[in-house]
Amino acid sequence: MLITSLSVEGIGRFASPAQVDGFGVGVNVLAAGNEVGKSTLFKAIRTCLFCRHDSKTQEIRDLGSDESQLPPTVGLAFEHDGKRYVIKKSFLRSPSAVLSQDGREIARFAEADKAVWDILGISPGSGRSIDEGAFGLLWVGQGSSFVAPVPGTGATSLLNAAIESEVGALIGGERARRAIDEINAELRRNLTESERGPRSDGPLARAQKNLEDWREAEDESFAKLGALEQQFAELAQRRWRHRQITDPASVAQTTQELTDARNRLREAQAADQEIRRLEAETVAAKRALEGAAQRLHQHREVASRTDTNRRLEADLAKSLPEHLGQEQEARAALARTDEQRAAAENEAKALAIKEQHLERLGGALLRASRKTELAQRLKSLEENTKNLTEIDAHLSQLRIKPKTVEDLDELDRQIAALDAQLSAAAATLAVEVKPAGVGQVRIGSLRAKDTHAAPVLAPMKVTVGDLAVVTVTPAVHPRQEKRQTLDAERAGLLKAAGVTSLTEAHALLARRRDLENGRRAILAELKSLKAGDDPVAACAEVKSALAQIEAAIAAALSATGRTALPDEAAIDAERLEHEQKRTALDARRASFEAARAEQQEAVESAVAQRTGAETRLEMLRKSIAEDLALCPDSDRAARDAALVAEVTASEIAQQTKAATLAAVRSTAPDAAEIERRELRCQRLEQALENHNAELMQLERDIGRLTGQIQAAGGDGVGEAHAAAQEQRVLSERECARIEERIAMLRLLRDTVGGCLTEGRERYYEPVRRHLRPYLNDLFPGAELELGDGFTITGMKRSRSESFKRLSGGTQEQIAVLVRLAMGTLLAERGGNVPIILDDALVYCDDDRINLMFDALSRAGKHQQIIVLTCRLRSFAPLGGHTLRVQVDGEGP
Amino acid sequence: MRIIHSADWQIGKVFKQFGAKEESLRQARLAAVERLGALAKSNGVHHVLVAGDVYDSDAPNPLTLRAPIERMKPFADIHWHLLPGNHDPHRPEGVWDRVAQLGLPSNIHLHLAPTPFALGDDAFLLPAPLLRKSELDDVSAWMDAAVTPPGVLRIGLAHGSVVNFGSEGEAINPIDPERTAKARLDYLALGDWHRTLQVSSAIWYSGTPEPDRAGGQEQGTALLIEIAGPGAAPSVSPLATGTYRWMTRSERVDDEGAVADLDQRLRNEPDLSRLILRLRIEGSLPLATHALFQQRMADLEAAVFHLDLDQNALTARPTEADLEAIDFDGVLRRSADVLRSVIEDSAAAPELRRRAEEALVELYVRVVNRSHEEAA
Repeated sequence: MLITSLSVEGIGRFASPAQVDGFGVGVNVLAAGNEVGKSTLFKAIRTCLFCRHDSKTQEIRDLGSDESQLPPTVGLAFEHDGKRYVIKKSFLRSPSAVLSQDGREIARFAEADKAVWDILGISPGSGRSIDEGAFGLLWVGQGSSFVAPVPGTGATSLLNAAIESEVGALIGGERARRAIDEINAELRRNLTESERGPRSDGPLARAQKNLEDWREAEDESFAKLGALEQQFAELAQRRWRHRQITDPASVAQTTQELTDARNRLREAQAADQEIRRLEAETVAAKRALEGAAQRLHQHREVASRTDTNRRLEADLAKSLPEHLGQEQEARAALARTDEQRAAAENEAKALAIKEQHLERLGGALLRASRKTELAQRLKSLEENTKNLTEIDAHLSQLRIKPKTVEDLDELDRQIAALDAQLSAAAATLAVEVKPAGVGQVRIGSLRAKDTHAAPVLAPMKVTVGDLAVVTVTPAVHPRQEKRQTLDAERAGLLKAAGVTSLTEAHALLARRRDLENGRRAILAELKSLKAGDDPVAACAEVKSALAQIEAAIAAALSATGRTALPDEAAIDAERLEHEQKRTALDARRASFEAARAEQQEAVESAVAQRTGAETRLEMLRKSIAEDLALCPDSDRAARDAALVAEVTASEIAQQTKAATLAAVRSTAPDAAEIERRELRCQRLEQALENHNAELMQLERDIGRLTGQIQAAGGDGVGEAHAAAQEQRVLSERECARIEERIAMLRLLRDTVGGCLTEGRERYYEPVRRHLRPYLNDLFPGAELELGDGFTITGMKRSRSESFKRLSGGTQEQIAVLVRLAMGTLLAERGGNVPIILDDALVYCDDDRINLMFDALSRAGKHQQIIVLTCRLRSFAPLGGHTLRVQVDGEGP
Repeated sequence: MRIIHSADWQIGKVFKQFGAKEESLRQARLAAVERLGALAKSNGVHHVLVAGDVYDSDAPNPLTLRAPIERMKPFADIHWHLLPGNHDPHRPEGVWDRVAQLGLPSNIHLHLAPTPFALGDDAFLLPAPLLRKSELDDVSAWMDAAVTPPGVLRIGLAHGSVVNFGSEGEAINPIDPERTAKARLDYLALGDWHRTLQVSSAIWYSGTPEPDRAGGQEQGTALLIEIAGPGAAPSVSPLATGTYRWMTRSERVDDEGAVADLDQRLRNEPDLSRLILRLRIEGSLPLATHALFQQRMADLEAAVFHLDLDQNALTARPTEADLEAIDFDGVLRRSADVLRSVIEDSAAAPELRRRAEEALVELYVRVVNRSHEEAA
């Protein structure tokens, strides 16, 4: 098919008749700006060929022109199979269709619709399937070039027919796909989408979960069974041991051995106690002997001491008067020294009083020196206080404030501005006084001469001699009212400030500021005099200080008995004299203190000697009395004889006891033997205790194990284990069965899938072969991957890439190339259909678009290519035939 | 003197592979006890000897423990002599102590120690209970020295494997085949072997009264023993006691005729609803016949109590007709050819070949079924 011309009327923006000329074989380009109507023309071609003339679809309604009352009319001339056809259709109002062949009308109305479809080899249209056959594939509307071509039913049939004429049919493909789908559905029930693991809610996952559960149950029951076996073994062992240790003969033998050992131990312990008793008696006899000897010794010591003390008493009584004399002599010397020391102390007190007087006079002299300074300060304070009081009085009389003055200034500014505005708006009174009129003309009270010009803001009288009085009254201006308000406000402010004019207000404000400056200076002076906040109080304070100084001087003079203060030199001389006296007096007092300490020591020594002699004498006499009380001289001999006899008797008794002890010791068991018997008893008792403890433990263990075994038996552990074991085996078989089936299904699916892919590859080879040169223009070495229904699934360059992941521009370029290839394939098989691209290749860069132009030119060798574009400059290098739209009444 | 010799009741045995039918098999073992009681009664027998393994486990649950006792109780005139076996050895506080604690009627006797026991005035029972699962010594040896009154029958009761008898016994527990001579026994009733077996004229394994596994005894059996007097040879008669028949068959099928013949023969077996059939199939079948065979087996499974079909040795042999049934050409036919090439590739792993075979059968079944659906 070769489109040769197109005419439209009442279509879109083409309300008037328009014609597209310049169609030719190969590439045709209609390059025009936006809103010229390219897409409308494209729609018009499609509507003319595929729609029934009497159709009233919305699409046809949309095609009509708002600016035309004429029905949408499209006329399309084309060549096909060596014949020239013209089809002309009018839609909506007065619908009609006329088809002519080689200039001869061959059909009208519905027959014309059908005849066109028959010529183009498309199935009878319903009026709605305008994208039928190859046209749907190769006529790419605006915005559709980005989409990968998915041939419709008709186009697919054409492609399949073209392919099958070359490589034969792909048999069983649909059944294979269905089989794969069914297998996949079964696999999906068991596996995840990725088939990497079992689907959580699938049979395999359930089987695996069951297997896991039963393995756990088996392990658990096996552990319980093991524990039961262990308990059986332990119980048997405990029972054997129980029988062993409860053997009556063995128990009786152990008990008898213990009884014998205890008896022998008791015998040994009795003998040992007898020895202990005899040892105690021997010790007591020995102690009695030692006591008798001790008493004899003491008696003889008392007698001897009495005699010695009597001799010492006589010697002390003789030395006592000598110690008394020495004491009295030491006391007399001490009294003398005390008298001298008291005189020196009195002298020191008198000197201290003089020193105090001198210090007081010095203090009074120091205070007197501050009197002048204080008087001067008092004077300054009083003067400043007085000045401050006067300024404050002046200030209190000045009511004007800076804010008031500022407000008045502002009002004056506003009034001046208003006046200026009023002046500008007012009529100007201009009077030119001629020489003859000089002196005759007065404007108000002003005598005019020469020229006079002024705005008339208020009624103004112009008197011309006696000739005339001209009164000029200005028109009432709206700003006058504002002016009056400002005047009233100004007068109020002046009155409140107690002034009559702004000048006076400024003068008063200047006076106020001067007074305030003076006040600040006085306050600074008072601050330097440390007057604080209250200068009057500060004056009183200074006066009080002066009075205190006077009083202190008077008190000092009165205390020292003087009439006037001495000068500082006199005071220093007296102070030196007192210091010298003080030094001499201190030396004397120190020598008295030393002498007194020495004499005091001598007195104490004499007293100690005398009292020591008296004490010793008293003690001797007391000791003699005590010893005589114990042993009077008259009993001394008789007592000595009795004590000697007692010592002799005790010696005999002690020897008797020792002999008896030795005799018993020779026959009794020794300590080692007793210890051996004790250990034997302990050992046997311990053994019996251990025996009993073991018995108790065994009975507890037997009870515990019995309970555990009975409990396990009650739980049916053995039966449960057998059940768990069988369940686990069953679960393992089920898992294996499902896994084996999955493996089998995968093998089947992969085998069928592989064969399907292989068949599809072979089937698509013609498409691929036609595509390869186009693809090579843009993507050298690349191969497209085609899926079911000629869909583009990916592109293989260095690696396989999903079509959807390619950039938008690349996707569009590939989509266009695939259409070109399919168009070529169909054209070679007689399905020569023009390729129309409306506003395609939008995102091509400069390099790619040139390569795409090459591809379009390649396709143009086989069939007509019609490119509609708004990119005039970019598509200029495409070449080909240039299409022009001629609208009646408009220039080309 | 008439006695019934039974053994290996294995009450409580689990049959999880039977799924919901498990309980029927468990109940059948208890029904066998009742059948023994009825047979004893009808044959004028007063003593039923059970030669071990009354229970399948020495830790059964309380219900399992009580169930056989309750089945024996109604037969008050019959003395039941129960012996611990390797499945239920007697251990302190074990299964037999639990049974004893149930409070047994006087006609149920537990022989838990090797002590002679009078079976009326004419005979003495010499039991050899197992005290552990596995004994290395012959527990029946004590019978040699067992003292019994003169002129009475000496009947041994033991559970174990006759020495050098084979390896089918479940535990070592050796029993000397000369025991009858050494211990002057008139009869030695043995358990452990689940099939009825005569070891010598006076030594028998009774077999289990209800089979529990494939490959063993098909029908449950007990033995009726009749001994005229001391030294007389015992007369032994089998008694049918089982409910279910456990049948094992190995068959070969290579064509449709063989499949039909097998199907016919199996369906001719009596009482199919109580038949537990283990069927091992070998051979090779065309895909169409293979599918037919599967269909027949599915039907048979529904007819019998249980079908355990082992067809690992059955291979699919795709014929040209089979492949044409899949398709004459095209993707599916190509897939079938690929799978067949794998099946016929002797160098391929056996597992892969087997899987390819299953895949081809699957493909065939799917295609044929769909054709049938479309035709319908």
